Parts: sequence; C-alpha cells; structure tokens
Amino acid sequence: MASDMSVVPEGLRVLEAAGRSHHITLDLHHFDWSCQTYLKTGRMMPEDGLDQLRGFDAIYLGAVGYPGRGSYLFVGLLIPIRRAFQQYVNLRPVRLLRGIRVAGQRLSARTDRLLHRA
Amino acid sequence: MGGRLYRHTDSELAVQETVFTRHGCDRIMRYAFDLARTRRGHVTSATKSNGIIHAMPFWDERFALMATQFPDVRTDQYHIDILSAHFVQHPDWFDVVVASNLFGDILSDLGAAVVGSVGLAPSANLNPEQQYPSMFEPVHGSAPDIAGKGIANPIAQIWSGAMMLRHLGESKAALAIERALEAVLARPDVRTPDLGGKAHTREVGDAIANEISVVAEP
Repeated sequence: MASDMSVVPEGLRVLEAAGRSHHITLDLHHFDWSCQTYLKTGRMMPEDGLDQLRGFDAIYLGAVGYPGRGSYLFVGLLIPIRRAFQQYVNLRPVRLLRGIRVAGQRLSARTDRLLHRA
Repeated sequence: MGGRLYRHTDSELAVQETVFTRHGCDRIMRYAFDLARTRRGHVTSATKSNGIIHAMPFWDERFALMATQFPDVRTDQYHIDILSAHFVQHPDWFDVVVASNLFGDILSDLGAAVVGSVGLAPSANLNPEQQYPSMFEPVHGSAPDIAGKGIANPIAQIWSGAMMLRHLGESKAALAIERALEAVLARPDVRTPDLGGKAHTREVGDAIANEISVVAEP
C-alpha cells in the first residue's frame, strides 16, 4: 500500500536492491489508498479493504497525511487494520546512528528498543 | 472507550476509560521478554502504579509474573516520569522497554529525539503469530509543506522496509539495509534538507540501494 509521497518509491527501490543481493523475490501489490482517494471517494479504503489485505504477509505503508486532515486516516485506515489484524505490538527502535549529530551530552552507541501495546 | 455528555452546557463532561486485560498485558510482555533474549537480555517496564492505582498495579503484577518465566532476563521498572528523565540522561541503560499505549507513544518519540532522529523513526505494527499481515510504516506522517518537491527524507520509509524483511525472516537482508542507510547517513553530501543537506529524495534512495551491494555479507 502506498500513499502520495515520494519516499515510498525509494523504500521499494531499496527493498528490491536488498532482494537482488540476497536472492529474495518480493511479490508486491500496490493499493492506492491515499488521502487523494479519500478526497475523491470519501473513504480511505474500500469496504472490502480488510478482506483484500488479509492474505498478504505484510503491509508496507507510506507516510499518510494531508494538510488540514487527520483523524479520518486513523479511523478509516490505520485503526481498522491494526485491530482486525491483531497488530498488538507496536515496535519502535531507538538507535543512535553514525553521522547524526546530537546536541548535549555524549551518548554511547547502544541500541535500545521500545515496544508497546497497540 | 468513553464518551461525552451534556455538550454545550456547564455540565459538559468527557470520559475516557482504560481497560487492561490479562490477555492483553501478557501477550505484549511475552513479546518483550522473547525479544530481549535475542538482544542484551534486559526488559524495563514503564508504569505509574503510584498514581494510576487500579490498572497499573495490575500491569506490574503481570510483569512480575511474566518475569518468573524468563529467569535469564534482567528486569526493572520505573514510573513514567522518572523513566522519561532516564531516557534523556541515560539512554544506554535500556535494552527493551515495554509500555502501554500512551506511555509507549510518548517514550518512543522522546527516545528518538534524544538520538536526534525523530523524523527518521520507523515502526512495525506486528501480529507476531503471523496469523494476519503485519504493517510497517514511518512513525511520522507526510510533510505536506514539502510535498511534491522531491526533498522528503526517505530514511524512515526505507528503515521500515528493513523491519518488514526481518519480520518475514530475511534478517540478513534487513541488516544489509540498516548498515547501508547508516553508512549513507554518515555522508554529509547525501542528506536531505531536514538533516541540513541539499540532496533530493531520489539521491538518498539511490545511494542506499547502491550501498547494499557493498555492505551485504557474502
């Protein structure tokens, strides 16, 4: 699934490069369920959207959002997906990356991860 | 769950209920402990049982009980206020942190800000049993003010893709992406404007894709 941003093609480009170098074939299906779709149709995803997604191994979602609009994308897209598909772990790594300048104290390059309930 | 009553009157009220269940607490905590075993073997619980006097002591009980099933994993817990301070002052104290929804939302942005990378943060919404699809996305949404200009930072999107590959069992490929993006981030000439550079989205994506063949293990 993708939205309207230029970052998703880069994500796909890198995934394909990783697939080539590691002999992985990704079977990708594109769903244009974006804020533009909402503006045209009044829905972020079609009524049978969850059924369409159910058989996939993973959903790769682009950054969503549009000026002046907010809660409908959670109510109409993200929350139905998270609930229907029992995505009860929200995992967010926190890592000090080389090359990122951090003001203030020196940090050791330890990784920590954060997770919480959906 | 909750609701609002008596709108537009002096008696207006809003109620928001938090419900914790044994099933809900145990499954996220079990995931945290299993994850810690693959890392540095340490889980920290975020709590507030001195203030939220029903749900949080329950959360603490379930955490203590889960810990007995993982005697090889070191545990600690902090109230959310001091934990936030520790995140800023001693981020290297932590390995895996488990928290309920609201605390986790706050701590994850705080953690990312501490390491200077709020806009770079990826996320995974996991169904660990793989009974259903899991979903991978940048933590933060689109940046409408720069939409269409080709200068948005793709790192969070790319990193989310690495998380997806790891979940699908392709951890070598995931690691290659992560190493590649870190190597490219270390180069000031390939940074988008949000990181103080002048590169376009496409240049960053290309650089990372090219770097993968360099960092991939044989």
